[in-house]
Amino acid sequence: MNSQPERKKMVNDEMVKVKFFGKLADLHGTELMLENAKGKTIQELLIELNVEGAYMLAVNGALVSSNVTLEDGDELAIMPPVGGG
Amino acid sequence: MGKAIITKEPLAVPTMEDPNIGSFIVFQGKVRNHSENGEVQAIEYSAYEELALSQLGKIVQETEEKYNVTVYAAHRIGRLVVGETALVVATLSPHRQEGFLATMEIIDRIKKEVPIWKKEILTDGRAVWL
Repeated sequence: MNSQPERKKMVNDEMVKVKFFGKLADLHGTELMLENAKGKTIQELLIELNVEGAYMLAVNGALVSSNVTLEDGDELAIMPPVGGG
Repeated sequence: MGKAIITKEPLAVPTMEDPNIGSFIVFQGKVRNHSENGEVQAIEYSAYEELALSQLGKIVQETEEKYNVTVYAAHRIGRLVVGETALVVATLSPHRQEGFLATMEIIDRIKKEVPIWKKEILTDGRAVWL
């Protein structure tokens, strides 16, 4: 029996889905599926993917900081500075 | 009880009635025909919609509690041409002071906390992320 709190999965396979928004989508594409991201922190992944200018991060729809470790099935959103209104 | 909306449809000013209120403030953010980048034709608003809605809802709720006001905040996404309304913030309050303060604070927070992005489409054909 797993005593860990259940983490809501957004992707049903052994991958991490990465979504880019705003100008980051122009640079990196809107979506990426990664097989080898499990166990890495978001910060490590940002360096690996050469992403600069990340302002807001979310995992499975909830805002997080860059020291969060990714799990298979996670959906990571990488967002540049926002500017609505 | 306030309301937060993210929509692709044109925005309208809401009707809000309450016999306890003395102030009804409405702000509309519109697409301007010029910017520091040049002559503007349109702005494309994109969003992380689920998160944008939850962040906007959080801002509405926190502002209502802080100032004891009722707030309606709606942001439009998609391609908007010059003159169209991208944002409506309406604030109902017993008196004007808290209404103005709340309205200003909501607009400032939307610009920093809600995942919406603008791409300016200029008349010379360029597109610039803001």
